[in-house]
Amino acid sequence: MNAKYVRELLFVLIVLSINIGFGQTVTGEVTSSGTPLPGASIVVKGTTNGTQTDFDGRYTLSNFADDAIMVISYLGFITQEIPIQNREVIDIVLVEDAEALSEVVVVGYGTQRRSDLTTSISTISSEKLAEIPSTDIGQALQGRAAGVTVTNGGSPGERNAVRIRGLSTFGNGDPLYVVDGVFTTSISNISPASIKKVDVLKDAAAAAVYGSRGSNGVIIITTDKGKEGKPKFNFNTYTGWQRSNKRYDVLNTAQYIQYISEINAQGQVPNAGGTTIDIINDNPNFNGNGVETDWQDALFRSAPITSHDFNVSGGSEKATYSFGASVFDQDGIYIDTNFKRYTFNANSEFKITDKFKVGETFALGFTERVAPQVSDGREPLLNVLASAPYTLIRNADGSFSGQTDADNNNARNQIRVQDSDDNLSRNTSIIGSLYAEYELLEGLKFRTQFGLDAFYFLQDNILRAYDEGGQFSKPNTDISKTRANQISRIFTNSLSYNNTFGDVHNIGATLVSERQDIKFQTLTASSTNDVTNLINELVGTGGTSSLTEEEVLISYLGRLNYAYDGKYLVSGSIRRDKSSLFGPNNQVGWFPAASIGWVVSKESFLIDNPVINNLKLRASYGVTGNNRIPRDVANANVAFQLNYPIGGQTQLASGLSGIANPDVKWEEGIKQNFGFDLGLWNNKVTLSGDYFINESNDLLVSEPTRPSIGGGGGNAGLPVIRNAANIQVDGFELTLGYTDSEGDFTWGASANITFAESEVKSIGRNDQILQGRINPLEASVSRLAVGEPLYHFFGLVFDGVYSTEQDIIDDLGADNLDDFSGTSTASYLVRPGDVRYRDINGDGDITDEDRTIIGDPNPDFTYAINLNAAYKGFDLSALITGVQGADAFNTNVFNLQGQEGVLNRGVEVLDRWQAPGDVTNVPRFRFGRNTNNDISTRFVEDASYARLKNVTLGYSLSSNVLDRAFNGHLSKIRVYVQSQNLVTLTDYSGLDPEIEPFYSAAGIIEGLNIDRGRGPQPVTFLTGLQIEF
Amino acid sequence: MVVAMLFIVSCDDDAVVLNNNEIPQATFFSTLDAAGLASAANATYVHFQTQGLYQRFGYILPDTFGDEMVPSGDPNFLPSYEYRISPELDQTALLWTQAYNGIARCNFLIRNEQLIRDRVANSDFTDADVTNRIGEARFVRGLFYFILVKRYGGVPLELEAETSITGVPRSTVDQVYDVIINDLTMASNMLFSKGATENGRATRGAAFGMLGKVYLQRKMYNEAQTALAQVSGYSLLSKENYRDNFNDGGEFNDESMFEVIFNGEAENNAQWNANGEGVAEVTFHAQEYSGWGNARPSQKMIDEFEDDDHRLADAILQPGDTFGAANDQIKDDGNVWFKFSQLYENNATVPEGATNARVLRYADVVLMQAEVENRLGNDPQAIAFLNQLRTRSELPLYGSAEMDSRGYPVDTPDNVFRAIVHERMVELCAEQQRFDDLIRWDLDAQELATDDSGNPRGYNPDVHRLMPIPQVEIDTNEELNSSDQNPGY
Repeated sequence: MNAKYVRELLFVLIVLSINIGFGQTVTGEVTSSGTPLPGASIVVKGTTNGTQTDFDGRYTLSNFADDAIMVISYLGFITQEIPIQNREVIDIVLVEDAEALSEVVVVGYGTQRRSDLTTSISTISSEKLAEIPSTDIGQALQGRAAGVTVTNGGSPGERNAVRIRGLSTFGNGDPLYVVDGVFTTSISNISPASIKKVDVLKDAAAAAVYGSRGSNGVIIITTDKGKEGKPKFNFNTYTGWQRSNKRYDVLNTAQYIQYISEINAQGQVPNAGGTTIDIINDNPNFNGNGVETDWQDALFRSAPITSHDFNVSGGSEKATYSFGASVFDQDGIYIDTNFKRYTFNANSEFKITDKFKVGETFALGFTERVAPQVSDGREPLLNVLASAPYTLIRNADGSFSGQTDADNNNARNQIRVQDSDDNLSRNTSIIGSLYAEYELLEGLKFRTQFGLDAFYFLQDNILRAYDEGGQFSKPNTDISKTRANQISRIFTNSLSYNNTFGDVHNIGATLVSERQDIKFQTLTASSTNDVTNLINELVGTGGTSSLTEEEVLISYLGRLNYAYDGKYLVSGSIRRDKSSLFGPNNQVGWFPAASIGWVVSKESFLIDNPVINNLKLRASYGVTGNNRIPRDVANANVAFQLNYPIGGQTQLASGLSGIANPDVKWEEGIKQNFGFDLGLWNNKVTLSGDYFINESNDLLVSEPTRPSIGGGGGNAGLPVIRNAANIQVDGFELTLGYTDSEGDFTWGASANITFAESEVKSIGRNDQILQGRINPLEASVSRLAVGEPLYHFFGLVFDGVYSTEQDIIDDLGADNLDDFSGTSTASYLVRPGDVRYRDINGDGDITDEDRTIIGDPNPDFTYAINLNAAYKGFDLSALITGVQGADAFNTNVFNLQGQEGVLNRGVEVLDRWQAPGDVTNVPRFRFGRNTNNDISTRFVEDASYARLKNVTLGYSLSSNVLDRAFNGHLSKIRVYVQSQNLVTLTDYSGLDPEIEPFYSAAGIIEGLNIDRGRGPQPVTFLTGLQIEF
Repeated sequence: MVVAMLFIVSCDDDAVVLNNNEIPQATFFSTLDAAGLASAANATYVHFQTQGLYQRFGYILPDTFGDEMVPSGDPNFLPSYEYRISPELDQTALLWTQAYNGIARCNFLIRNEQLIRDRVANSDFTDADVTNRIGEARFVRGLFYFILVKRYGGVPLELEAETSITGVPRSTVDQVYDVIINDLTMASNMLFSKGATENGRATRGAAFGMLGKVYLQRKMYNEAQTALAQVSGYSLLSKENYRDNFNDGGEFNDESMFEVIFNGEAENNAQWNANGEGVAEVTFHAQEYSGWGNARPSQKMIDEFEDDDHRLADAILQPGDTFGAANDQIKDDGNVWFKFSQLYENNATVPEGATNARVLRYADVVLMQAEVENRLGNDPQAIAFLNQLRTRSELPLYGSAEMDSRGYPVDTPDNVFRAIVHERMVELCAEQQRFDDLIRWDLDAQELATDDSGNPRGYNPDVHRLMPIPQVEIDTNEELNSSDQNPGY
């Protein structure tokens, strides 16, 4: 072999080696939304050659061919394939996959790959949750998942109503919250920043593993656990302002004085039942002394909001950890309202051996809330709308002013109310667990967990002595304090098995036993202090009472999953719950469920389809329960609430309490779900749909009993709670996702829409249930009746205003025309200027029989649209949420146009009926409670809306800049500006179309979309900073 | 091991927790002591104090059905005075419901008698105590059913401790009276005598008195005679102490046989919706009748008194009369009831009335004895009983020329009966006796036809002897429908 030959051979070898890539290297950074992604996998397609990104998201790949294609994948992100094409540096931006197939879903007592899932579960990642600063997880879920509807409470810290697939109970419809396997009620004490992911179990086959608590859906929260690697520090902060510029247009001083002058003239008419207004009557030239008070502006304010949270996580091969703390402080847009939250989290896990690990989770939360003051049953807004504009808020010496007897206006000075009354609550909570897991055999694991959910709740209500200097004063300071504490212990043992046989048979099995013990104790005490209003503590004697309640739930669960070749999926489970809440005749409930799935896209006819990369069909059936039965309705016990003064002093008397229902049990939900998941063009477009039929049977409802039982009623038998009502909810939900990228530009959209229709099938022995009694109207608005939607509005049909006497005679007959003689025997008497109601039953009289369904507060559908885009360091996202086709009962119409007492009103009353022949829709002023303000369509409006819930613009410094500026110490800096509730499109005339439910004193929903004049949600502007190192 | 761990969590039986705030029935009886037994007996009386009974409608209804008083227009008083009581009215249901609540308290004791007796050996009470307590429950249940049968006719009979929410049909009037007579007969054999038990509890004497009253109402005169004859240990107060029958200070005097107790204590405004729970040991009687004047004495009532009868001035305050702590307050307008008014000793009435309702007093027993003797043809004895009251009041005796001249001769059985009618009206006015008396005497149609001005009141004896069954009972009791309503409603 000569030298030339050798050279040629070497050259060939070199060329060859270059050609096949040996010695070639490509490096770069993998990021998402400007954040480096450590641990992303980079593999040369068709080979086993690959690497992972380091902690800074950097990778180096070598030994590949010229035409090699890199496959970059990361859990929860869309996998990308990029030809290397001789480049040396390739930075890769991964796009999040909304419903990534590789994603692991928490299914309750275990996890499952989304691709194997046969039930309906939505997953929301921490990135999504972090987008909107929120007081609690409920608020953060708004618009994030199909079938999950959230209605925000108005004031800071107020409970948000979270409903999964509509309402299916008349009782407590809150979903079950499970934090790291611990059932909790302290959901607003959890910092959204501590949450890694949220899984929402929507259909019965998913929720049935929670048995008698699954009917309302289950929200499973997984907190951040830390990953192997060097410590990762996260610091997030934001601060901003909230305000609302929406106001009602009320009469100014000149208009109000003109208005009350006319009322005064009406009050001078003998026998018309009116009164005069001294300030005008005694001084017809009264002009308000130049005072023009804007009471609304005095109540509203621009309110700051701030949040800081810090987290460090990391770990070694043997142990992982995550520690975090947060501070949240939000003022309300009403003066003297506030919500604060402090949290601390510590999670850790240790591998004792390869097969044995132990760990713990711990979340401590403290919240403090100063709620708006409701005075004499009046919402703050009602008092400020009604106050005379010529009265001062404060006198020159700083003391409070108020309405005087001469004003004949009984509005309280709400600014004084906020000052003198306190409604303060504080809640300290612990949610924690200790667990151990041991792998007995390959695929067979035993896990035992002890969970603790505890809270200590303090409520102080202080009504201080005051003197408004006008009509209103209070000589005593009344203080009432409640101290409540609940400890719930949960002991869970589970045995789980997962293995694959013959490459195609995947079997998963789970056995669980669980016991929960709850003990609730409360003490309430009150006192009256007539000496000083400066002491906020109980002084002297007053009433005290205490209560202790206990509950035990013992459960067993079995679940079996089988998948054939990832194509045919079957799952079944059964749970047995025995609970002390259930009556002695029904102590045990069984809750079975089954589901099947078919991954069509894995069939030969679709496997290489260029368009459809994923298609799965799912069906499920399951039985769940709602166990929120008031404690101890099952037994009649001997109680000591009676007294009789015998032998010279009041003595205790004992007897049976109430009427027992030994048959009482859980409410039962039988739910069916039919769904599909579709992925197109490598999941560039995803579409999921679910159709569901939820039957809720044996719903608890109060039924009247005959008084002759002697159970203790006053003028009727005490109601007994029985499992007697049924509801059916049908609906479907769709989720559409789209993501794409071109170069540095990535964009995406996701949208979801939910249709749910509810119908009451039975309400036991009740003909109807009228509830949702609103204070200023002294009547019930909301009704339950068979065959109708839940909580529909029920009342008369408003048909304008009677213009002349003849109109009344033509309509109802002369007997209903009030001639002010006081001798008429007709029960319904009107004058021109009064409201004309439609005589539905045509009997020539307006009575309760003319009431009909006048509105449906249940939406036709709810929807959310999420848009996002990123270019280089910039990211932009927007969330739009909406409700379509929901009616609202707007009590503000009464506040502004009710015209039955001397109060300030809206400018609409300038158009009121004043003289025969006037044609208007605003009735006359009429003294005293009268038929003009009967519950009617006059107060019902369409409250559909679309709201730009969130729009955020962020910028992240590139890693190059970070490297240069911080020497590699910082891995991420992102700044952002954000606005919430910036735009709301609606025809609704109230301040806010997003109306919280109407809760009874016991916290049970009695109505929906009843706007009682609560404050609006503010528009919020924030700037924030996120740092990671 | 693992499998054991899996199932060690729980013993199924643990899923039963006790109510910490109340006591299970079984525990109550298995740990019963004298105080507990007394507290169960106390509960039987509680419902007498409620809005449906002696706190309000228990006196308003019978008083306004009769002719002793005229309401001023208050809606709580008018429907009954004008015989417009409807099944839907609050008072219709309140009286009914509260009477049944009381009956349930009694049944709780009566039906668990054996469990209570089983405790005697291990507790601090005796067999005699148990007998007395059960006797109390029997007395109170009899009285509640007596009130129900008089106001509503044949009502559903509830006699079990464990009631069911399923319906119970109406019983006949005779069946209800059988229960009442049985209860009161048993009570009269079981109860301690007055003085041997705390003031306010049912006594042997009260049971005999009430039994006599029931027999009389049933026109079972021989039985009434026997029962009333066994009333002993009571006496008529003197004329000077007569007012002790109607005031606070004279409660439980020698003439008093059964009272519903009020001591004026009220907490948390429980008195405004008094249903038995909480502390509401007050009656509105004085405030409503004498303070607000919602029911004033009729002219017919005032005219019935003889001119020299002190009982007029003791019962009724007329303009110009004096009253009050120092008897220096002068009544300046309209007639009001002085009886039960608090105004013997106070200058004004208060809503937190502490004056006991006098349900049965010995004067009534004496008058019933007179009536029984008259009905049995023993007029001399009847006159003798009547004259016990005349003697006490230092008034001319029946049979004297003076009484003959006043228009009350007693020469014939009918005239003796007329004297009884007169004497009952003036002696027992405003004590919820008159309406029942008129029905027993079949004088209701005649006496209730018109008011003081001669205007018809609309009374129809075929309808208005009874109130309607409450609509809420008809709606909720599966065994009742509208055809079970009392005739005319």
